[in-house]
Amino acid sequence: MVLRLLQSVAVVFTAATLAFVLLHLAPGDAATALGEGVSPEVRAALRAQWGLDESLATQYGRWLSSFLRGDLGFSRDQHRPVAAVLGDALPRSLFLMGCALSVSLIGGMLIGAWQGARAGSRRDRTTSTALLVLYSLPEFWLALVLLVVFSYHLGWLPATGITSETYDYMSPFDKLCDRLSHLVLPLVSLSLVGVSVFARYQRDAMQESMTQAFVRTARAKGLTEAGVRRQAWRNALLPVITVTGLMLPALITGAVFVERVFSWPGMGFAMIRAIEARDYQVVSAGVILGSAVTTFGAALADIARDIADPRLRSQ
Amino acid sequence: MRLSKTRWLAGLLSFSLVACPGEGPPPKADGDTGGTLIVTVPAEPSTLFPPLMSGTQGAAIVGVIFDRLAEIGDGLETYGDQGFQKRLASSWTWSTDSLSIAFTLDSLARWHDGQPVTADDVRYTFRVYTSDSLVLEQKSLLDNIDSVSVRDPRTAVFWFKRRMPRQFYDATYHMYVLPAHLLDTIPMAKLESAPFGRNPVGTGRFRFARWEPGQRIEIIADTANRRGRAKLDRVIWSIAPDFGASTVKLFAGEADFLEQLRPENLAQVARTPSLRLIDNRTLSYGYLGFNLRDSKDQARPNPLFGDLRVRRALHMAVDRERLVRNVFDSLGMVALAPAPRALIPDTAAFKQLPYDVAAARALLDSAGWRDSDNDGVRDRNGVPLAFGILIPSSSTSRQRYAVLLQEQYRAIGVKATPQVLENNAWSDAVDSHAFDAYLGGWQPSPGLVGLTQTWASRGSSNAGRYDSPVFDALLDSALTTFDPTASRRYWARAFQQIDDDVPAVWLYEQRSPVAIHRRFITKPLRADGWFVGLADWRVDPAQRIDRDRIGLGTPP
Repeated sequence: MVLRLLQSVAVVFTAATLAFVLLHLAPGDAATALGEGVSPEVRAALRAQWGLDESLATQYGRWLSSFLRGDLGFSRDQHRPVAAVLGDALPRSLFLMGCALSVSLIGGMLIGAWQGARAGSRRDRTTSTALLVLYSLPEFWLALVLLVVFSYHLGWLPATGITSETYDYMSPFDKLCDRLSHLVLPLVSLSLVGVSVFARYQRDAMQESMTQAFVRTARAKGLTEAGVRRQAWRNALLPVITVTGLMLPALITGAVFVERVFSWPGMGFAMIRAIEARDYQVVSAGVILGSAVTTFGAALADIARDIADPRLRSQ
Repeated sequence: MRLSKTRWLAGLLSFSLVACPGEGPPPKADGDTGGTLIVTVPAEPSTLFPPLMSGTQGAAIVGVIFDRLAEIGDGLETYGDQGFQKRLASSWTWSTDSLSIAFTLDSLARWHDGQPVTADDVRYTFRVYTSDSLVLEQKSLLDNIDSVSVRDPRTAVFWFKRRMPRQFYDATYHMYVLPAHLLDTIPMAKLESAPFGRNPVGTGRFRFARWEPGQRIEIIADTANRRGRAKLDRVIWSIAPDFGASTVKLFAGEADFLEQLRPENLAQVARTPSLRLIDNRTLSYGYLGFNLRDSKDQARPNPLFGDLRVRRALHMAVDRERLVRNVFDSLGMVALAPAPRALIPDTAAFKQLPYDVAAARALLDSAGWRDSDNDGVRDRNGVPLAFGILIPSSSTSRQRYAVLLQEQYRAIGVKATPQVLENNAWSDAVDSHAFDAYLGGWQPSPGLVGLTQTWASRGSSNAGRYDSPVFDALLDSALTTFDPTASRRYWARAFQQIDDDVPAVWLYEQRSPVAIHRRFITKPLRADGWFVGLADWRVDPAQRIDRDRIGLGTPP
């Protein structure tokens, strides 16, 4: 466990260092990113004031020393501490990704188990094809299509944001409805691909499980078909748990695009803005958080797998 | 049974999602005041602290929350104090030698927290804008102001280093007055991170209400304002970085106002009965800038563009009128000089190089550039007449321009290659003079004082390193003479000089119509900021929608 923890810290540290170095190697800096209307003199003065004219090693050392002291730094672009920037963005992303993961997991498992129990049937082939099509759709494209159809043409759902502009003036019930209505499109965009992934794994695992000896035994003992499938499904959970951990990076990547399209002010939204503005401190801290969430998620998946499979636990 | 429950729940959820947004609070506002304007914008401002604010979104919000001492008139006249309107200053007096101006503050002027506006605020404001602890673009524009003193609590005196025709403009246009009582305990170097930047207190007819990061910024009418409350109850800037999402918000009725429309959206606006277009003549212009010095050795002239005949040929080969029509249709005009027409004192006084492909070819021939190997590209001493045109990736219009320029130059045997760079990389290359040619754009401030920075030989933003002592002298004369007629004459000669020298091909002036919901009754938009008259915009009472009736009450 300690080794696992150390590995995670090393991964997070490496990722943050890479992000810091790569962003510095890209053309421009926070002073350049201020735009065309700023004179080179002012840019140079800002570089000196912000320490951007120092060597990369010095800047990295300063950043690392601050980080180890628990100071995430100051966002030059937003004129406020990085902790405040992430404090606003992270909960929104976690909420969206949590909802998307839940929907993907539940939807995918239900569909996959249903398919696996009927493997080879026409219904299985039809749904498999549909899921394959779904899997091949990029999240941002799907998001744009949903936006155009449901917001622009049909006008059923709001286009952007977490809440409406007049949210503060609504009654509590209207506020709840408003929040839910803003969640629908980003959630659907982000979770549909996940549903297809989970369904695929669950289907295969279920299909294999249905051919196991214990299933035949259960049937021979007179267990109902629903009971048999329930037993087989429990046995088919392991691959899904493993995939859940592996899905987190993909989910984070998908969230970046979805947040952009729907102006969902989460981590993806904040990171794209920070990269465009060459806001090094925000990007570095964001990468640390992203990689921490990923490694934490993978660790959780391992623990869940250990719990689900006594054989792994004994190892 | 389970399926029917699921359907029932889905139906209920769908019903509530569709039905809820339509339910609004009971009507509260009527008559001349009331209403909510929702502006959809692509980016969030960095801060609302006026000296550090950058970008158009911040400019609009700060411009209606804060006041200047006096506001430039709609004619954007910068000579003397003619045309300026009173704002925080109720009157002003020039000293007999014109080296100081005493501004008397309006006794009714109050900050949004109720404190009176004092001369200390004005003095403090000048200290902030000229502080060495802050790196501000405006500082160089305040060079001629020696100091600001307080004569009494209601009188602030500006002392100038020398008499200049734009003293009054310098003292008023570049600074929004800041509340000293809220800020002067904060060290200057800490102002950048002060909470004030996200919770500003101003004196304008709108007051700051809330900023939800990444989502929206809301301002509301200041009902106690001495100049009368803003007619709208509130204006909300809604942030949608994706342009497509922004337009969906507008066309779906979730937003009322969209600046920076793209030409392809104009027809869609025309087809939408709830929307209308308002003409918005900005002060921006675009150009193809040449690097007049060798990008590798600044001491040497550029092997291509160092030759005036080449530059003239490259100018005469461009059908600027056709390019403007192609890219902007009726929303653009050919630029005449490094300034928009609105700021050029006398556009008829100087001649433009004609569009003449034959003459362009002849000029290149005379400069020794001929197609010796029949490959379609002229060459001289084995060097082809070829160059790259840098374009920032964010500008679709400049990308289209680059392709059209490439075609027009191909016709005279010149190989121009568009090079699209990410914005930061583009800025880096232009700032460091590492380019052959680039497509640039400027938005000069009224008074043309910025021309020194962008085109004079000592100008720090003179990326192409245009160096003409004649132009510099004419510019200085135009900016310093007190005789308006002489000034116009100097401007005409200066523009003629730079047009003849061709450090760039002036391509376009852009009109940027904005789309707005028809229920709003607006003032004409001013070229230096559409938001200037925002406090007088109102909603037609007959066309109000739910969000116009919220009123100014506290949120539940």
